[in-house]
Amino acid sequence: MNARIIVVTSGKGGVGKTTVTANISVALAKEGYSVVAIDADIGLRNLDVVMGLENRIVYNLVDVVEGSCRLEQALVRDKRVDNLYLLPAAQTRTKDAVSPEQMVELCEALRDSYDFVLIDSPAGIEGGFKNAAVAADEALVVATPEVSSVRDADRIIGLLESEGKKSISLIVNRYRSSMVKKGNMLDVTDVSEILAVKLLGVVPEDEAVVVSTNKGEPLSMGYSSPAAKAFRDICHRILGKDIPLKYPDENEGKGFWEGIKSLFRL
Amino acid sequence: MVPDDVAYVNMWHYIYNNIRLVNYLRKVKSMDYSGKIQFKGEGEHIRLIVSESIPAEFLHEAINLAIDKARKLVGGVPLILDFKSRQLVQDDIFGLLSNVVCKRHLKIKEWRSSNEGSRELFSSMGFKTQERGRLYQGRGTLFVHRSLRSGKTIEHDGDVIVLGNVNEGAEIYATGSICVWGRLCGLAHAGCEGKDDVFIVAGCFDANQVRISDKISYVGPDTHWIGKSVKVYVAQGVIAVSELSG
Ligand SMILES: Nc1ncnc2c1ncn2[C@@H]1O[C@H](COP(=O)(O)OP(=O)(O)OP(=O)(O)O)[C@@H](O)[C@H]1O
Ligand SMILES: [Mg+2]
Repeated sequence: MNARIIVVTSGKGGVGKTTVTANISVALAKEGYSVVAIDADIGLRNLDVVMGLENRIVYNLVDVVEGSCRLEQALVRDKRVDNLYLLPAAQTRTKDAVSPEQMVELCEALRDSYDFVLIDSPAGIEGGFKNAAVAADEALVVATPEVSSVRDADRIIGLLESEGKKSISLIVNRYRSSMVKKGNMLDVTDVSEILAVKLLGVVPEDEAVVVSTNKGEPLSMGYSSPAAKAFRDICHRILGKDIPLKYPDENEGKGFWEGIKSLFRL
Repeated sequence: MVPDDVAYVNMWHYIYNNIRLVNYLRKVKSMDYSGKIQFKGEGEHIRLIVSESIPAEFLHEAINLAIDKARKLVGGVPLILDFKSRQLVQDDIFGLLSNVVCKRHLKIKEWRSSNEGSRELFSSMGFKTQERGRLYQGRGTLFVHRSLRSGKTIEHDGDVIVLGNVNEGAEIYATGSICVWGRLCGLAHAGCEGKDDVFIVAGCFDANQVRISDKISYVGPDTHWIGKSVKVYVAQGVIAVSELSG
């Protein structure tokens, strides 16, 4: 096996890196691939909670790097989906606990045994981001359709390019078609034109994301909300399938009457 | 004369000669150091580069001697005093002001140093100095064959042509003109060392600020030439814009 190592990053905080990492990891595993999701946000770990695996953590990434345990011991297996594993971050340490060389070594050790390694990165452009990105062959950049988020994503793409990453693609998250129509939010075409990288998918704003995050059960586990569909499409595009891009509507999936009601609220 | 008197006179003679000797030696030394000062013609001004190897106490003598030697060259032309990485103190500057600048009625265009502390001192004393850490390499036209992403800075002595976009958060500083084929959203500063017969051209103008020479123009979102192809230049001392047709 020769795993594809993919870093999920954004520059700006809170735009949905962890949500994307969890959902894509689950979706890929459900397609039958073996997946390791690494939480590289050392000191502010979230991925375990979003994936609902926080109770089963024994060791973490820093333990592996410092030699306190073997890599396999630290991997938390998800019981709901076959072949899905989480390598949690240490909550009690800081980003300097790991060096770029150690990250490369760790990811290379996973490469032979899995199909995909997804790395959730911390916000920012400092050491933590560098650690998360250094070992990756590909990058998924997450941006919301806001000026500040797009500008930070642009900065991150510049840094990734200067580190020689060839495959960089974009996910636009929390898209709200009603706001775009009213001209209060950037259009997806604007965003992808500015960032000038391949657009992998558009995830709508979706309450179901928040609910699933709190339940520790990523939408890709089998839900059918608009965001869940978007994540599934993204997963298929990562696998090389040609799925037409669509700009989802946040009202899609709501009942007929709710759709009418929100129509009137416009 | 009694022997005591002879000794007395001899002593004065000795001291007098010694002072002359010290002064003479000092002069020779200053001459030596003045050789460590370079003149560089740079268009409308002359840059006087003062080597760091000249001790502070010889600074103004050495500069004076150097200017004496190059009097014909320097006369009336504005000077840039470049102290390289030297850390100057306030007394050095006072010394230079009273013994060199004012005495010779020199026109100083800029006080320059790559030393942060010296630069702060210049600007705290109200002198014109270059902006922080801006160093120019190479002259002529710089072609940038790609878009500039946020966080990228280009500094160039000469004109800059970007065959792409300049995204928000990217910056270009050129001593000459700037031409952006694509969309200009970031900061463009043409004539950043004071030239104002330069221009900025953008295929699609979408920036909220432009700078030419020491002039800044803020662009509101409903300005009518946003999104158009424009040329920005200085006319009658203010920034002017004209739409490019065709
Ligand atoms: N498509 C969406 N619809 C609604 N809420 C969303 C969506 N995507 C993310 N969120 C919410 O936004 C918040 C931030 O998301 P998340 O933690 O994934 O961001 P992050 O980029 O990992 O943040 P950080 O930079 O802090 O690590 C969460 O509460 C999440 O539930
Ligand atoms: Mg996160």
